[in-house]
Amino acid sequence: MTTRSEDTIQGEGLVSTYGRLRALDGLDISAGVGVTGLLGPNGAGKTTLLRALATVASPREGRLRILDRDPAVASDRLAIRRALGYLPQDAGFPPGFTAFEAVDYLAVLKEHTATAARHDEVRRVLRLVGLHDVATKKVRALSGGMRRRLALSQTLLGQPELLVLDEPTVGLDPEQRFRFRDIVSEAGVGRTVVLSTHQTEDVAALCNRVVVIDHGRALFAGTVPELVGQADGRVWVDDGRDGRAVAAYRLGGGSYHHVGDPPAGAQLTAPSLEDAYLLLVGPSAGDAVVGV
Amino acid sequence: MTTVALAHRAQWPVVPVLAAKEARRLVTHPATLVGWGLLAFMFAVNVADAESISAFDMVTTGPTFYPGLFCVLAAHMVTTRDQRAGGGELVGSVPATRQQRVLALLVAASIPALIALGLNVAIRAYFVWQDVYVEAPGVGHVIQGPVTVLGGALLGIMLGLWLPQRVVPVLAMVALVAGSVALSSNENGPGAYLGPLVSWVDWGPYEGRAWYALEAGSPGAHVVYLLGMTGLAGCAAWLRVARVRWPALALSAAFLALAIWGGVTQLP
Repeated sequence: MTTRSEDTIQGEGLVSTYGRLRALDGLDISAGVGVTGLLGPNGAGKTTLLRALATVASPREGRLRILDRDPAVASDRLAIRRALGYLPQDAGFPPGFTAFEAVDYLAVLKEHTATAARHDEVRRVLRLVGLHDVATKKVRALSGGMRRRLALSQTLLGQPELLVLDEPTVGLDPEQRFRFRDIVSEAGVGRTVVLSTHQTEDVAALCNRVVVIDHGRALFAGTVPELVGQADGRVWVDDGRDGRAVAAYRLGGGSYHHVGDPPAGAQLTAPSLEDAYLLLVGPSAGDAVVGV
Repeated sequence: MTTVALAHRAQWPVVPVLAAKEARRLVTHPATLVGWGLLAFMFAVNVADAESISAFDMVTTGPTFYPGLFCVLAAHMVTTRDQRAGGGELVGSVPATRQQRVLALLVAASIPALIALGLNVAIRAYFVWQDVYVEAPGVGHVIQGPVTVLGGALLGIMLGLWLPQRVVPVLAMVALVAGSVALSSNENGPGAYLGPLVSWVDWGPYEGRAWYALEAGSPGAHVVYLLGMTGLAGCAAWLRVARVRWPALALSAAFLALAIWGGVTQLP
């Protein structure tokens, strides 16, 4: 993968290990302004990569530059953190805090130290995620979806230049996901957003770029239409299940949707991003793709 | 690359702002509130009894036994709060460093102590006004309790950083009480001065119903001894996160010397 000087994120040959496991195995990645989606099965290395982008973990090998800075250098790391909004997979808040206090606490840690301006900013981000009405509720009284939105709200503090979101739509209902897409697509204007998800619909709806990762390596990097185009002519519908398909599932009408190398005379259908992803990663990815 | 102007960049240093927030949480933590409540209850009991010995004891050991002891638990819980909530990853990605967060906690620990000092001054003033004391507590007597409140908070922070398990502060509180009781069991021995609970009043042969005498020894040196021990707890907390350790180690040596000097000098 080639990186461009205008890319916000430039990673080459990234290696991260957990004991003997190589979570990142020479990964190359680049991302610029706009929304970049990371797709990959469980254990592919997405979270490890996002932790490196969020400066909470360092790759063991390789060259990583974020916002034209080296996260291994303390002063550069601080500069990156000042321009970063990070939503980790597990973002817990003290249950005794109110929603406002939880975000306000993180706002202080993000150096928003002028009280009046900070409180205005906290109210702004809570309104963005639709939690302004429950700002005085304790975290312990919020639903799972509300807590996820609360976690998302803190990433928007100060309108950061780089947003790193690890599975941001987990626990959100369809209406909340719609709202999330609106927030992220707005955030992606003039900024860089990198998000990891199992929801291919989110990637298709939001991302102008997609990177597919498996076994710590990038299998694909390009636009969503380019990835979908790889599945052209490899998706078909049949009345019965075809055992030669990479993946197949029964449609509501009783016929079967197949992905793989179609038999002669098969009734081809337009591929989706999910079909293309399955073809790229293989049948094991089916465990990680919602709806399969 | 597009550069977006960041709003609200720091206008004040993070540590004092964070310290003010942590101080409020420390002072209003349910565990600390129990301590304040017990102190208020004991004050009410002493007002009703109006006995010189117990009113003196209220000033010397009251802040230690109630808010001071419960501050260990509160400070531990405040220190380990993010970790227990699963927010470690979040706070690990922000500009404020772990050192700044710990420094804010150490500064915040002084606020419960200052409140305890204010209360102690007020309690003493009330009993002086009511003419309860045969002999009123001196400066050292009034200061020692608030210093132990500071020590309790710093001990809780230190334990939270080194031993974040929930059971640790409870064990520490039990150990503090048991240790104090054991040390003070021999009233005439030097050990009676080395614990955090030194009453300074001799309860005499009248079961505290009539003034007998003050214990011999130096309350001022006892405060120095407590400050030394308190400083050691603060240094031990800082050593958990310090990038450069030698200043904290040097300060620890100074506090140790202070504790030894005060510990020896306070003895009769």
